[in-house]
Amino acid sequence: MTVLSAKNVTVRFDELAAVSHVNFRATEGTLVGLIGPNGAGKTTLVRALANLILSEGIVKLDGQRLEAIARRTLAQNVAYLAQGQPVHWPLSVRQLTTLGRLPHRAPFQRHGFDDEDKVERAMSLASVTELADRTIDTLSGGERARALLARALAVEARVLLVDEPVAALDPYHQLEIMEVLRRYAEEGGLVIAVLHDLVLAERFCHRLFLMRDGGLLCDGAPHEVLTDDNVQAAYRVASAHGEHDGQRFTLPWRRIDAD
Amino acid sequence: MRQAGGIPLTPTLSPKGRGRDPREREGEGAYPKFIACLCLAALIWGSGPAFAASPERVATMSLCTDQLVMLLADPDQIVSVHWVTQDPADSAMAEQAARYPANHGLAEEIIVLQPDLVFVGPFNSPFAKAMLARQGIPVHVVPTAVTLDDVRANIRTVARVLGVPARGRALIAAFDRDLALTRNALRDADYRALVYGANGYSAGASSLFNEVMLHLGLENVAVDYGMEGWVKMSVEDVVGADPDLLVLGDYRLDAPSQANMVLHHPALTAIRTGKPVVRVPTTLWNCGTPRLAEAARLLAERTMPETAEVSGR
Amino acid sequence: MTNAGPSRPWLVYAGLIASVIGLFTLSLMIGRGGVWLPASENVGADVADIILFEVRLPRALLGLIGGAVLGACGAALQGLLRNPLAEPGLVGASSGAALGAVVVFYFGLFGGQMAVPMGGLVGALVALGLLYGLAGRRPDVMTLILAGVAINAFAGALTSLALNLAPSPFAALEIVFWMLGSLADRSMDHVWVAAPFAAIGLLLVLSTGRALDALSLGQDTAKSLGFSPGWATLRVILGTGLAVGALVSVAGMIGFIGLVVPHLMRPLVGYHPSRLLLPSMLAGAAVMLAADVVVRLPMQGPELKLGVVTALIGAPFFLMLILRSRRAAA
Repeated sequence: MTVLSAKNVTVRFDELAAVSHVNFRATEGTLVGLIGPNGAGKTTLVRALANLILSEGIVKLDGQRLEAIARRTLAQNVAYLAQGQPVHWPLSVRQLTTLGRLPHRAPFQRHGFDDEDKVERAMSLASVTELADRTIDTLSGGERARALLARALAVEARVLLVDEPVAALDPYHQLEIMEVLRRYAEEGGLVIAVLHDLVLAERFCHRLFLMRDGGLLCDGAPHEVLTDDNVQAAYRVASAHGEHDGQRFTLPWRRIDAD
Repeated sequence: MRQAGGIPLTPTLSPKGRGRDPREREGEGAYPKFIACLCLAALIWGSGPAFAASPERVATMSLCTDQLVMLLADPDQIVSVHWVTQDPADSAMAEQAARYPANHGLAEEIIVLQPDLVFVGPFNSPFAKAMLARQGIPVHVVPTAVTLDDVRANIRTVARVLGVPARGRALIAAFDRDLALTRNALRDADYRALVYGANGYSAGASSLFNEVMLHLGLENVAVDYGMEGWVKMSVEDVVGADPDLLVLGDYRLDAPSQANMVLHHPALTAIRTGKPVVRVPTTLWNCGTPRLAEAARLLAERTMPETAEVSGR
Repeated sequence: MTNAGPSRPWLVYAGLIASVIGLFTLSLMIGRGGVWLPASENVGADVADIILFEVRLPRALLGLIGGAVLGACGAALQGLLRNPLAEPGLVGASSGAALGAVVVFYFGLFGGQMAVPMGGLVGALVALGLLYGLAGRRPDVMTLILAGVAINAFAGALTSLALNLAPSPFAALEIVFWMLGSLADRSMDHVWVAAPFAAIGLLLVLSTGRALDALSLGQDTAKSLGFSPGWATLRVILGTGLAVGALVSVAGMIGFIGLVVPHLMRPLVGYHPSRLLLPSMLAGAAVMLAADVVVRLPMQGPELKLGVVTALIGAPFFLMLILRSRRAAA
């Protein structure tokens, strides 16, 4: 059983709290959408959950504080895909994906056949198998996003933290990536994805965290979170709702001025 | 400013120097020359009056030691000289030097020649000196001469090390004889003189050309400026010093260099007007050899042809 | 395993090792003006032995060690800083070492032939200490680069000051020569001074391969993959400082090898920083040995300076690489 819990998590940058008093408990088999306006603290929260920045409060994985988990063990269990992930050298997609296996290799241990299978599997999940030998700098935006996701999937971590995985992708590729994340969760992972697209969030996520000003405004099932009041309070927009194939969707429709 | 000759020198790196360093002593036994070296060292270092056996193969690795050795050794004793000494622009003895195989200051070139004595200057590569010393080849460092007495001392030392002290005495005597012809030759003119040449360098106190000027009875303006050794002077310094006599050191006049551009500076042309400007080739005074007497003679002659004629002939 | 880079990595390794062995041998055999090792019938067996083992062997060994250090450290720094223009001099240790050697050599501290390398080592360590002081305990890449640039500038200024105040034109010339690098007439003592530092430095640098791979995805991702960017940075900087500082202490400044060699290797072994380290080390050794053979070839005039030859070969080659990669990108 995978349980990721946050208790009173607060991150300060020079006294200014980017994330304040966040509490939640999330379990495996869940795709959590982390939504909220720009500057709400979504990226900061994700980085704190990945133990990349110091935070006050307690983040626990299976009851163990992140700080207490050995660096390599933590890396094997929590994968992180940064927003606008840079790739500094023109690596091939396979080389890039293989980097995801690094936490599983002991010092001096060579890359084994087992790893190769997992790399193939990750590439296949992210539909980049045909691109395996292409270098990252020759890919289109959608291909690149999928390749980067393949790298994160290759870690085969129980917790996958992804920051804006579908930003700047066309609808086709957005849907494709959301499907991959949902499948990852349904196969037993816990995925926390930072999203901006409310339609995608509502359609694919099991659960949504709506953030505003560093705090969790609302946490629950999509239809509970994306109410008119919540959307207006967080985003300062009025929303429209519709339904298709038995699923509800929410569209931000009109700006609402503060006064 | 420190002068070249002020650098602390080890007069002989080998073989006596070896005895002090236990690490270096290892492996010496492999070379039969070591015993010979020790004897040589004893003779170099001891104040013993005469040198028993002359070295048969002498290599020399710098412009100034090359010239002293060529003046003192038998031609067939010399196995190599430095390549610069073969260049007439740098060397007063280029023609003679051209007879010998040139070295370029590298230890390997010297080791192949298997010399039993090597002369170097203070500015030879320390790595080359150490390498030769390690091979048990006696390396004799001849310090840079900055006074006429240094010249005599260097001649004496080189002659002794070469095993020809009598030849050294003769050379010094000839040098002194030549110098005597020009002593105070220009004193009556009461000139404040300045030498200026190659790259804007002048000669301050503790320098050979200063000695030559003093010898001629000239006053060296650069000394008044508190300058010592080879000193860099700007055109402004030269104009400010306002010498009565400007001595220009000729060095590769045809080569396009900063040095020669300085010599053609209009400001210098201006202060030169109406004052004696004398040219003396640098090759005559860039090393502490008896050629300095010739530098003195040329300077005297060219400054005051009549006087020099009278006292010189 | 297959990947886009090397089709046959073992072929690259075999070629590099063969070149290093070949050039090492050539460095032992070739002398001034391109003449072969003097035959023993001309000079006597003992003299031939001396030249081979006491003159050319240390020189070839230093070429081997120095080239390996420059190649590996160059590749590691480019990986660490994720910048293809990084080179070992960036750390500041080499200019510190050069300054230390120059100070010892020309300002009255010359006692024994090992004083120059020792001064160089002290200079390199002081520069590293300064870097640590400037960049702080948790160094980030940008601070390190800036601190390195500052140290380089300051050490360079002090070296220029030494040049400026040199006791004579000859001394000035010697300082300039030191800045140009040379392996001529170095002895086994120099090898013993440089080798331990080079070995420690190389071990530190080579140990960072996987961390450098992870760092190609940025600091955060490297951390999420279980690596500490700060620890990797420390190892690369310290390793480079020790190894390159020791090299500069015995041989003077030798540029371009650390910059160019990783670029030479990338088309052969791919862009993986970890897979670049060993080939760059071998190729660095080969290039340095080759350059040190080239300096001996001219018959006339002084021996060429090693740093001059590496720059002469390196600069146009670098230009060519850039032009070619631009053409490929277009």
